[in-house]
Formats: sequence, C-alpha cells, structure tokens
Amino acid sequence: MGLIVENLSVRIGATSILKEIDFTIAPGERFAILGESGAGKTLIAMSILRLLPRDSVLEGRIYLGNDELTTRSEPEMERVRGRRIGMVFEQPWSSLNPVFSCGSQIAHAVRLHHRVTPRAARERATDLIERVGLPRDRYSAYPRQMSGGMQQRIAIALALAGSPELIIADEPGTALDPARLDRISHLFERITAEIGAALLLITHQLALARSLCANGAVLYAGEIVEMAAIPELLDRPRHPYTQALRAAIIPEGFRPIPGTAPEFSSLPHGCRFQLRCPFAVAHCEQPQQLMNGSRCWRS
Amino acid sequence: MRHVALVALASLTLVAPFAAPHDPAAADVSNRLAPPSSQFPLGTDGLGRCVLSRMLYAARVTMLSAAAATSIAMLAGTTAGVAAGYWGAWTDSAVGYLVNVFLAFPALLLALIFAAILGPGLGHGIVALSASGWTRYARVVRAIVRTERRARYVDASRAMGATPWHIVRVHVLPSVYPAISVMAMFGLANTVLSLSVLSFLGLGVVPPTPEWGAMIESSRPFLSIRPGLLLWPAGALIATMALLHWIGETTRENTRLDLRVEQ
Repeated sequence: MGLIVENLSVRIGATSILKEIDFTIAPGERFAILGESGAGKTLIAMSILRLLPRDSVLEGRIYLGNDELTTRSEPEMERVRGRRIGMVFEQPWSSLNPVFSCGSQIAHAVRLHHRVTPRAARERATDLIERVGLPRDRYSAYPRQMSGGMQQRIAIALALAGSPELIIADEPGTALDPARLDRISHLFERITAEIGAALLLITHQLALARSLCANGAVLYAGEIVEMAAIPELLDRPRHPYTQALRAAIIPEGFRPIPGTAPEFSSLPHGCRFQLRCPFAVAHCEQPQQLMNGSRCWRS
Repeated sequence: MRHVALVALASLTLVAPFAAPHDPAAADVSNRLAPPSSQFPLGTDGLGRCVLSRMLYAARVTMLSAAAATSIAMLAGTTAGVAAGYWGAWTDSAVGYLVNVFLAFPALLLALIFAAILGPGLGHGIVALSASGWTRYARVVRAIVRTERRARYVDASRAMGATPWHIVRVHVLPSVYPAISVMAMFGLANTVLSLSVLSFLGLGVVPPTPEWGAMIESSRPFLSIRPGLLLWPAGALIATMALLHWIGETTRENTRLDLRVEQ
C-alpha cells in the first residue's frame, strides 16, 4: 500500500539520469526527497506520473496502492493523474492559466475526475479554496491578482481536486519567505492528515523537510546516497554528501560545497560524490551499495 | 461599429427575395439594355434581366458561398494546425509537407486549378476556394499551438489527468481564437474576390445564377453603351472588399494582435 518505488532507473536518450531508486511511502506518511538542483528530484515525480520526455526509458516498478503504474497505458494513467496523485508544481503562478479565474481552473480539474454538474464542480472548488485557507470569494480572482503565497494555496487546492491518495509537492517553498513557508508547511500537514494522503515532498530546503516529514532520502546525481528518518538524516548524517549538505547551512547563511555536481554524461565510476568528497580514496571507485541507509562504504 | 457593419453585410444575404423587384433570371429580350426606369431602377442587361434584382441576388450568392468557403478553410486549417502543433512528430511533418505543396502555388492559381479540374458550379467553386485557403490558417494555428503546448500550465494540466482533448479545448483553442477570427475577416474578403474572379473566368457560378464576377464578364460587350452594367457589380465588389477589410482591421486592433496576415 502507499507508494512503492522499486529499482527505478531512467535514461533520457543515451544519458542515464536516475539509477536504482528504491523507496516506500506508507499511506498517510510524509516523505522527503532532498538534494541540490539538477540531482533528478523532479524526474522522480515525473516518473511516478509517467510524464517523462519522449525519448526517455523507464526501468523498474512503481506501485500505487495495489496497482503497478509502470505497466499502465496512457489513458489509464490519465485517470491516475490528478485523481489518485495530486501534483503541486514549483512556481505555482506558471502552472495556472492566466486567462481563467483560479476557481474555474479548480472546477475544471474537479470535472476531469468526477461526473458532476458545473454547479456542483463550482461548489466543490469553492470548498477547496476555503479548505486551503483562502476566502471563498477568491473563486473569481485571476492568478495575477494573487500573491505568491495565495497562488501556492490555489495550486494545492488544484492538487486536492481529485481527492488523491498521494500528493507530490515539488519545491513548494522556493518562492516563499520563512514565515509563509511555515504556514504552507502547516497547511500540507493539515490537508494530508484530513484526507489521509501520503506526501512526497521534493525540496532542497532541509528546514521544510524537518518540519513536515518523518522520513527522507538524499539524492545526489541521480542516486539515493542516504535514506533514514529525518531527525537521524539531518542530525547524524552518515554519508559524506549529507554531512556536507548539512554543514553548508551555517548561522551566517550558506557555505557551498566545493566543486560542482558531475555531468550525467560523464559520471565517475563507483561513488558519484567522490570528486567532491574530502574522504575519497581509491576504494571509492568500486560500485557502492546502499547499506544500512548509506551509500558509502566508510559509514 | 464593426458589429453593425457585419450585421449589415449578413443581412444582404437575406434581403434579396424581399427587396428585388423582379425575378433575377427572368429574361425579356425585347427590353434588353434598357436605361434605368421606375420599373427597372438600374436598367436591364443584355438579356433584358433586371440589373437591380440580379445585384441583390448576387450579393446573397457571393456572401453565402464566400462564408461557406471561408468557414471550411478555417475549420480544416485549424484542425490541421492543432494536430500538427500539438502532436508534432510525423503529424507535423505530414501537415507541413501538405501545406508546403499547397503554398508552392499562388492561392488564386490553385483555386483555378481545382475549379478547372472539378468543372464549373458554385459547389465546386466553394471546394476550390477552401482548398486554396486552408493553409494560411494551418500555419498560423500550428505556430500558436506549438508555443502554447509548452506552457507550464499545460504540463500542470496534464499532471492533473487532463486528456489531450481537454487540453486542446480548454488551453489551446482559446488562444488560437483571436488570430483566426482576424484572419477569417481578411479571408472572407479574399474569398469574395476570388469567387468573382472564378465566375468572371466562367469557372464559378453557372448561368443564370447571378454573381458579381459573372455580371462583370457579361457586361463587356456593352461597355461603351451601358457602362452601368460594369460599374454596379464592380462597385459592389469594391465596397464589400473595403468593408470586410475595415472590419478585419478593427478586429485586429481590438485583439491587439501583432499578426502579419498575408493577403
């Protein structure tokens, strides 16, 4: 039950991006995938939704509840997307069509999945707007008339339109200041609890993961390097990358990890972090397995 | 204002049966080439038919057939453009190839070729004009759809489980509408003229159906004695063209569309 991702690998053209991704989210659980931009976080979400670019190849299995999503046909996936999986995109303003009122876009989404009259869809959309903490009269407001935080809430209401069992939130906090972030975090906590949905949070904001999720995985260059309960992951990191990520956030702001992530077209043999790792030795060029939650032979 | 003009033009298609003093096909050779009189306000033509009645019926024939040809071209072009722009890949190549073949010939020449193959007749004329007109819509619609389908809200909509049909209907077509409504106005003007050209050349309407182009053609032998036979239909044609272009211009200004419409 819940979401099971098993041995997921994704290639785009000749370039291998995701490698052997394994994780499970129990129903109602909130799970975080952490990592830098370009690590392949969003690609995991797109693999679950099966919205990959045309020339990509997906291997492995993904189960939602008792159903294997990876073998579903496109029309079958259309009934999974939005209805059983709700997606909240990064930059909510660009995922809203500027020519329709926010409410009518939610009503559109409701009618995609439920055979209801326009009036009933409108009613449900208004309820959803209220549920995400906006006044009911915001139904007729257009996206440009709203602040970033309000647009984010509309995007969440859109994801709720089909009463999903899994909500995927892709960088929901990027555009928000810390106070707003805290409120969005509470909102996610409340709505997932209300409808019993699991949450897959994709973020680079460790604080957001800490406040929202019980478990998490750290993604580096398309590979999960460490997976554990969030307190353990963030307070006692075992993989050198997680340690570096943790050490990057200092009271004075931010201290970047030396070097840059490798190109997917020229990954090193063995550990993908070895080029930036302060502890790298010759043995790191051997293939590394995820053992006891860490993909580092030293830990 | 442009709506008034549009309604006025549309009503031209309705008034003929009520306003025409005579049957447009009723010939009276004993009264041929008569000057204007109270019975025949614009005189009679070479076969003694009432010129005013023929003018009014011609307006109806011209407007209705031009509207039909433009609608067919618009629908076919939009469908092809959406298919090419949305699905891309081989659909795009196939439509693109077809459009290029059609665009290799000047539009009027293409219409002439079709009309010549199909033979004279109003229905054939309409087919010929739609066949030569659809490419303009297809190209513009394809370009708009291609940019539109990359919008983030289209991706978001897909992630919400929207079917391609839903995306086309809700997100894509509304953004195509302003462009094609402007194009349709200029297209209508073009089609009116092309239909008259076809009829002038004997490839459009078949006698005795009244049509401005055909009337101009039949006025030629009498140009020196009855120039009115040429001037009335020619004037009507010019006025209609001017009006349609003006409507098109104002529509374009209203939609604030920066669209280069080839004419």
